[in-house]
Amino acid sequence: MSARFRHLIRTWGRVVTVAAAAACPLLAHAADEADPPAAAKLAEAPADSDAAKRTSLTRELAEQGEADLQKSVRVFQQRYLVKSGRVELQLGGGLSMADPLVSHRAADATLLVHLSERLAIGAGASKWFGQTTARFAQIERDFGLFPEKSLLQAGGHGQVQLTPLVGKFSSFGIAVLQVDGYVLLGGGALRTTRGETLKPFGMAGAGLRIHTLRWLSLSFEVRDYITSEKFISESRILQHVFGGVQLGIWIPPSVTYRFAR
Amino acid sequence: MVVARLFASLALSLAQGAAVGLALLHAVPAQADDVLEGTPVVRRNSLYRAGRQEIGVVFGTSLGDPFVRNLVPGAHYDAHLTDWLSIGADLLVGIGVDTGMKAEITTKVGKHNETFDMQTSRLALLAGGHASVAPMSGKFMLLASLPLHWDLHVNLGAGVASTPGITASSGGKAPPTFSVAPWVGGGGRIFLSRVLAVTADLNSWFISRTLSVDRNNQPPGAAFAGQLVFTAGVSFFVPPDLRRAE
Repeated sequence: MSARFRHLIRTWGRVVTVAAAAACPLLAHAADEADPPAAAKLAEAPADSDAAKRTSLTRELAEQGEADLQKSVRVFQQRYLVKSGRVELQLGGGLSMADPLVSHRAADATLLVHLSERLAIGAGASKWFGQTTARFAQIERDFGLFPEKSLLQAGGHGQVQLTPLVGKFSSFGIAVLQVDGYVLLGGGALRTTRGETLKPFGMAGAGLRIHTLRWLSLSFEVRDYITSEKFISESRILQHVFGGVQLGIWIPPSVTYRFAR
Repeated sequence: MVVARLFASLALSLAQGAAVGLALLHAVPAQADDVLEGTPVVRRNSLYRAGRQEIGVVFGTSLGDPFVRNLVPGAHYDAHLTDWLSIGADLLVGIGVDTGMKAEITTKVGKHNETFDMQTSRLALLAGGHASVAPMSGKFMLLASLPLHWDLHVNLGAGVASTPGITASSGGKAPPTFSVAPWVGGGGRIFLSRVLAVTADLNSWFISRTLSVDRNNQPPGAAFAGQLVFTAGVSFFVPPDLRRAE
């Protein structure tokens, strides 16, 4: 009988415990809304003075600790960017630079396979839209000459990309984005307005790739197409320098880490 | 005695309940707040530009010149008011080098006009002030071994451009020009150390000038046109010590 009574008392004690635990947050909210003068009076009580001081000190130390934590925390995590084993579809275009007589606009599509973080190979095609410049017309007008012109039309190429630079940057402290710098070498064949035959060309360039999302990048690129063109009097080596932008769509769109983040 | 132990057990349970309640009371706000929430994405970073002065020497070339390419050695000064904003001054001196097109035109026009003398103008001086904004700055690893700080910046400036003018064999003259020249462009810096950086910039200067005489040895009037100028160089930053961001 006595044992059952003790069991009953213990059970009720646990019920009261749980009830008290559940009620405390409510009591705390009620305390927040308590009349400030009443709280102040309590704080003025000599017996609670030391406790209030300790509470205040504890709070200050906690806030200081949190501030120190924010200053000192260093986050080491797996690299945001993984290129190895992924395919990048680049779509973009560019404008020719530094040619006084003709200008071109380019539309490019390139498929790159990133063999490693630093090496990629790919193939692409370009369509160029060329026209003569005002300087061309000026030479015709001022000198009575009719310069021969060679406008690029279309071409295909293979390329190798090497990425010696990998880094990150911020813009006014708003966000941190990953970036890499690459050089490219390649070659292919193109067609110009001077004949239907395909002409071989070499290509060299450099670019800066900004990774905005894991599946999307934006590359700023300079390319130099070097080809030989046959004019009436002679053949000449021509250089067509383009500055352009490429939008990179990455497949697969996300990366899988071998270990937990 | 038994009753006393029961009341002691009840008091202990109540104390445990109060302790759990207090713990919950303090745990609720701790779960709601993320200590990193709202904090800057970049902190305590070294400010390679803020409050520093930059003195640079450059060498470059104009691009797209039909008749005379201009090699442009020069210097510039920048006072970096903040890490992203600077104001400064530039001075470039032009050295003319004839292009192949000039020689070709001289040959071809000379076949029909023996008195033709291909007189051209070059850039003599480019000088002015500028403001630069560096919206992108960061760091990268060169070949996974050498960390380097870098930035990209946009330039907006205005100054004067001077050309020596043309005196044609026909007696016609294009007087020397000293025209207002706005310019716009951009470039980048790579810091090799705290005080040394390599720079590259591509700017377009809008310049009024006469490029050459025509086939009758008469210089046409001056006209405004964009002139691309590419420069590369090294910059020295003082003071050598870097500030750190908050």
